[in-house]
Amino acid sequence: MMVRAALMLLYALISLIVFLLPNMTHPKLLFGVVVPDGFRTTDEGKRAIKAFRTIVALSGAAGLLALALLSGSWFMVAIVAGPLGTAAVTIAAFVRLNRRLQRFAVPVSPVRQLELAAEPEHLPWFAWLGWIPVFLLPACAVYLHMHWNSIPERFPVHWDLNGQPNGWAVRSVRGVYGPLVFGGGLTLWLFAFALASWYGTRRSEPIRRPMLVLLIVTECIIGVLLGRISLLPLAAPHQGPAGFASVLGWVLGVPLVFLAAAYLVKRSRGPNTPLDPTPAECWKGGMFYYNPNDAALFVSRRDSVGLTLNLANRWGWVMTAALLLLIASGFLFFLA
Amino acid sequence: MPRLRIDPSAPTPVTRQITDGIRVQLVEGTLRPGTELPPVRRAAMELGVHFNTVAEAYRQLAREGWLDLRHGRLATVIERATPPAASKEDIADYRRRLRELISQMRAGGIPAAKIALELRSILKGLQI
Repeated sequence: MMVRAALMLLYALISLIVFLLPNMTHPKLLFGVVVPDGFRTTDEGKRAIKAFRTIVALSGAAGLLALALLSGSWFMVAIVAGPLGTAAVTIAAFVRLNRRLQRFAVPVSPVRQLELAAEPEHLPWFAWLGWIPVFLLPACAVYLHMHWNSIPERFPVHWDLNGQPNGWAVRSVRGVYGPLVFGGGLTLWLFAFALASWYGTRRSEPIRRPMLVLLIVTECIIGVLLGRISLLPLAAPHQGPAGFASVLGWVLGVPLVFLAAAYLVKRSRGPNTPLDPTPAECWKGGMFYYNPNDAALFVSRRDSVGLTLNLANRWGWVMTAALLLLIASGFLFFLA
Repeated sequence: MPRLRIDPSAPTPVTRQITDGIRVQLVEGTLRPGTELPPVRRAAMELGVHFNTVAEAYRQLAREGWLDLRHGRLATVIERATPPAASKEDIADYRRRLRELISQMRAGGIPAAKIALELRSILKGLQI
């Protein structure tokens, strides 16, 4: 019951964030379209926002109802299908509104400026904190190696929604160090992604710094979490990361990360903050940026907050492929 | 800090805008010998153009004798040797371009006296 309530709360919070999406973008942007000042308060602007919110609200309510009423295997289906359905419906509504608002689009001054000085690029001090998880996980491996004999022959590695172990591993190199290898890959990827977001974004981009903070913090949280999981074989066999406390941690943690991201980015997006003059014709559906003539790897999003990849840059695809490979290998490992 | 400004929507190709913009600062003396220009990668990113666009502009300025481009080093402004006297064809070409520009200004409603004043002011700024 508690798990169900926690999942419903999480789902409701995510739906609320999506509901508030039009308020999170730059004042001159609405559903990925650059609109005139004050457009949001016009009848057409209000109608578009209302249409989007109605769809998100209906979809969210349907998901919540499914989570509340379904049971057994259907409940598990609702856990996966709910967020996926909401995402699909939201994207479809967004693209439709993007097309509808195109006729109100106004051009952004395409003028760009460059300081003709070769000042070296200084990485902010906090970016170095990204090395912490990179060293923490090998330290966990050393600790496990030193306490090898204290690890039980068989220990839990997976828990059900009620916190009861339902997956076990044996004391082997693969069973003990597997999560660390996966965690190492993931934190390294996140660190590389954070650095790429710094060096691959224009210096004039106001959210460049907040994004770096956010990515480094996320990397550190994931690193610590995976380090803790890797040490679980040394804990008593009945102990696990699930249970209500753990679920509550996720329920509160995930929206907190979302809200922190929204706050950091919003802070850098005052009404006088200039828009990045990326060409309108390079935005597909107001969401995807494809511009082979732009050297930037990341540009400011137009659909929400944060940065998005320039899909014409091959390094973006390399990073995406590396992440997918990492996730796929993680799944294969845990399935095996 | 000298700045370069480009307008990708202008009819003039971006490579030429970059070349012309930097050349103005070189001729005016804002960029002095020894000054290092931003790396091609960063310049291209800040200007929202392809790397090759900036690289070609730098190469053009190097061909004109303004820049030293060595592999692994930043493009550096160098003391330029006195260029050879312009040929008659070159002068005719400059004259044609000036006429086009002045005609454009006149068509835009700028009085001839104001254009003459601007030209004198620009020449003075170029320290010629």
